[in-house]
Amino acid sequence: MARMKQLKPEEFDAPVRALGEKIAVTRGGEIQGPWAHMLRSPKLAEKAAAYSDLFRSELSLPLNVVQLAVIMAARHWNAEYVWNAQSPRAKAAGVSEAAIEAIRQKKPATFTDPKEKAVYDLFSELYSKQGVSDATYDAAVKALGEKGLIEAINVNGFYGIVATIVRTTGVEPRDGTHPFGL
Amino acid sequence: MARMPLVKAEEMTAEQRALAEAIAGKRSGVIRGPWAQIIRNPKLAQLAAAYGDYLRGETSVPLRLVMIAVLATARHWKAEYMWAAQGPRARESGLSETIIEALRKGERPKFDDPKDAAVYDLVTRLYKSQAVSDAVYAAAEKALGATALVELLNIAGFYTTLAMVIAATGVPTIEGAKPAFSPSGSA
Repeated sequence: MARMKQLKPEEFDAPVRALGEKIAVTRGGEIQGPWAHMLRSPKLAEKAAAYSDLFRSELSLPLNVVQLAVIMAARHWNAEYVWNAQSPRAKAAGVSEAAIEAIRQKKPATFTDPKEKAVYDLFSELYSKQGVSDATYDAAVKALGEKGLIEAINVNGFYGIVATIVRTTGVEPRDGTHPFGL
Repeated sequence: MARMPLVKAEEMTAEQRALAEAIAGKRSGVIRGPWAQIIRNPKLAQLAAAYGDYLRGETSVPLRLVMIAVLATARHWKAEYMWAAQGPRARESGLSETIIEALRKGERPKFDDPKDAAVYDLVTRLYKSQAVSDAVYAAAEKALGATALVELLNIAGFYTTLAMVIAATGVPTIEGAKPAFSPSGSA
């Protein structure tokens, strides 16, 4: 159900619209979904976009691991819009279809890449317990490095923000499909 | 329990040190807590801090409501460091000791101001069930308006990111701080 009205590009004044177009370049080409809501607070949107643009260019983590952290956030928050936008990117980055499907169904996923496994275990445990065991932490640092672990949390946490905006304001999936059956 | 050692000033590159000083200048004066972890990637830390600076003090959300969201987030994650670091700002924002104590215990405070209640309900329902009812949404939009509601979700989510860093890496609480969530302070 749509709760908060998504402002259309023509409803923003010219500087904000220009900012939105700049932000949209790396986000599907048009101002839409959660970013249309973010733009209600233009400076916030600008800073959020600068921060998240970094995720695909300036991290030590490979892209498959970044995208896995993204879809873990989409799944945890039941954000179908984010899932539909990001799960194809996870697949394109090399996360296996079987793993993506298991995550979608909330079934245990298996991984051959130890970095992917580390991210999956880290966030699965963080969400369910608000903490991680020594074993999970040790495995995450071993696979990702200290820097990589911190990066993964930033990525996942930011997409958690996008996802909670989607969930709270009622942003519907772009293509009308409901991967979580909501 | 300390897991990942905080990055110390003397271990930093010149780039990290300059950035650490800028980050610390807007906070307690020294780089500490989760920021002493995020600095491992200086570019990420710089843009995270710019975003975080805006969220902590420049949005249209009144400070009191910011602090309700921040303390509820600290409590959800049992993030001792965050609780200790944010306590002074929470008091400055006008939150009563009774409200702060209820938040610490994870109990719904008896709020006099419906805006306080709307923010508390929004954040805690989201954390608990990853969704909010129409009534909770409507109360939040009435209390905040659309723009501040979006800002508040950014604030709650950014402090969630910091709380995950604290929880995963074992950021120790502030020296001398009384444990808020467990007798050992290790929660």
